[in-house]
Amino acid sequence: MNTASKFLKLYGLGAIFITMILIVLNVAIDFYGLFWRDGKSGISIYSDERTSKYLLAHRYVPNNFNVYLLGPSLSANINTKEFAAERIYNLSMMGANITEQYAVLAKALESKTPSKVIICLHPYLTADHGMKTGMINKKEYWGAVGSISLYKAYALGLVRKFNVLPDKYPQNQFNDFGYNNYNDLLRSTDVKARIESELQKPDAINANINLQALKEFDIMITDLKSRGVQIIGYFHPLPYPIFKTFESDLIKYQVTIREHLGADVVLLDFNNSEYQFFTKDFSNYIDHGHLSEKGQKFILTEIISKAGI
Amino acid sequence: MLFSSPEFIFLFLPTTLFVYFFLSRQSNFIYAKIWLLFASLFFYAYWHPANVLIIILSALFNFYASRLLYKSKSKVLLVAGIIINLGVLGYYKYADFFLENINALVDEPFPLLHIALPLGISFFTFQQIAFLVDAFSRKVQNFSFADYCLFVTFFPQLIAGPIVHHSEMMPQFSNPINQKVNLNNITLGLFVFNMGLAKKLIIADSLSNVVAQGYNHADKLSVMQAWVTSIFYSMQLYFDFSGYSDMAIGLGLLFNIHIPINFNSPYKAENIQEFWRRWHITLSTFLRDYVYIPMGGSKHGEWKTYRNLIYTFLIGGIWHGAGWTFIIWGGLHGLALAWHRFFSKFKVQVPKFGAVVITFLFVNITWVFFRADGWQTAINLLLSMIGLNKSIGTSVVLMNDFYSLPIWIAAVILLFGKNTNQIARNFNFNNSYGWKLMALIILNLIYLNSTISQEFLYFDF
Repeated sequence: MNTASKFLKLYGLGAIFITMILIVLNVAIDFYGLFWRDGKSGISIYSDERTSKYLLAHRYVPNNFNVYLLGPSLSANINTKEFAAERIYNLSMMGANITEQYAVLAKALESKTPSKVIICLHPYLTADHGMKTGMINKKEYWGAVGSISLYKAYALGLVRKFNVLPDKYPQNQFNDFGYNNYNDLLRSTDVKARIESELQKPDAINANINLQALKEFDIMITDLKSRGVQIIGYFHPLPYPIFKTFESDLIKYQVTIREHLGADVVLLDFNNSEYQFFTKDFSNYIDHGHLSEKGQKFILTEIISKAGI
Repeated sequence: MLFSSPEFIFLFLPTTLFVYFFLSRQSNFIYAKIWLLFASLFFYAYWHPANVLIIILSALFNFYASRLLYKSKSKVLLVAGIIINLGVLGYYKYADFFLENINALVDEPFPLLHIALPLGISFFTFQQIAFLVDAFSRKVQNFSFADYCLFVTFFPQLIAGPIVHHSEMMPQFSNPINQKVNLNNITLGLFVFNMGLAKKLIIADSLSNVVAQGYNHADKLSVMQAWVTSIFYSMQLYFDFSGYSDMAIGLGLLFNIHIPINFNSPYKAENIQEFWRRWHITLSTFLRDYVYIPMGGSKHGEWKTYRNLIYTFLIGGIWHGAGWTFIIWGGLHGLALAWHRFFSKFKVQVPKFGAVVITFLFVNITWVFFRADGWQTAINLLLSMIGLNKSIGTSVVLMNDFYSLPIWIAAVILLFGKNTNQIARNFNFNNSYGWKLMALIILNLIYLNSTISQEFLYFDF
């Protein structure tokens, strides 16, 4: 080969051809159920939780689930598949604030309205606002035909499938109901000691509500109500010593949130005296706040029965 | 419109290129030039339409001033022309810096103006000052208004250089050979552009998160983290800026315009003088020809030479940004150049490897002032680098994951391997380069379609 023309035709068109093949392959795989997969057999998560849940919220979640669970990491490890018949998808995300959570929820609401939405209420959700990462991004939709995050998801899918790095990427960390089983990654060996060490920190609980976050919370609630979605809120059960130490701040937080939710919202308070048997039993926790499997089952059962799901 | 944005790559560039060569083939070449001029102004207006007026007025003023200068050879006119150019640059770039410093000395502070910096103003101001000086010295040949405007606004070099010289550019715009499609240039241009794009999208952007995290917690870093932060920034800046320059060179080639190289493996430099012959070459050349030499250069004794070097680099520092950290950065480089000149007299031989390491360490440390958002951040990072920060032991997570580790390793290898100019010089229409081009295009398309930060660092200057 000795001319620019031939060179350009061969390699320029070759690059375009290979790119087209990659796009076709990625659409055929349809990792997030964006293009043709109906997801009846379930679509799990393998890589970034935020990107994955945002993309799954385009079609898979609204088409296959009736109820959504929202919240930060405190609810992300609740395995709603334990109650598969209720079709509850866990849209909670580790470290999520209200901006991120509503962005994912809004995407799911665009195509279908769920019957109910459960919200895990903890100051963390409204302590700040704004996207914490670039992972929830419109661009990711087209990224599903070929992008770094897609290929990373493929790679981690293989790593999990063949259990290559079980300590860092456990095989069954996620499931097709949005469950993020990070329990083994975060579990403290001595939960009581972990709670005690947390109590040494004066800012272990920041119960302040960011004003902009509260506005966004209101917008989310109004949006859900306008669509006729039944909202069920629950104040996340904090280990009793932590709740007791920060009780006055947490009560203030609860009062504000109650006002903003309105009287028509089903609201469960797992920190009141009725549930002290639960919050005083540290076997319900894996650390200073995240629930153990035993704790998760109890809380979800309570929500389902009390809220009539 | 960023070079690395889909709208530039898939819409602006192909349309501009196609219409340019269509017009140059079908009609008088002047129409093709006018098209290219309008396309360049559109490219500039894409960020902030109002700023187009600034560049148009600046080009008009300097064009007519240079005509007058050519005829009159009036030194007063030259000085006035330079002052007006620097005045405009000063107003947009340094007004708030000036006021902040005044405010530090007075009881009743003046309100800051908060003027948005028009992109590329530092670059096109320097280019036009050079033009005025050369018009005064009658080094400028006959030139048309269209060629002059294209020299100032040609979009590949408009925003972040290279700082082109009229003697390199204007003859190319009027050369009839350049009016025809040249597939050799287009192929090489595509190759160089894709190399630059890969340097920016794949390497520089993968380093940026670590750098940002490090500088945001400069006072809490461990010694290792502080060094990683500073070295990553040195690499990020190189790949970002040289990537941009490569893209500009590649884009120029598509239009048969040869834009001068701007980088030549700067971190291989064995001393600070060599570094400045390899880093931002077009700026160094400008500073040498239009600042250092007019000040007397090295012709008035050793001490005045040292003084001239320091002054030149103080100007280079303030050119980069309105802040004391930039002045300190420039001053340190000026001092280092003076010291190197002094030390060279003793003819002490430092082994090549040691010389490269010493030079890199100096440059790396001075980049801390260049990158830091203020004096305190710079000092915090430098203290962290020697283990003297206030909060040692406070945990900061510098890297959330190591997915980019292969890219970081590749970056280090690329710093010391063949650079873009060397690879492009040997470019051939063979399979080896064909596969490289194909891989670059595919990788760039994947990265273009990914969510990553894409700001170019040198847009701020």
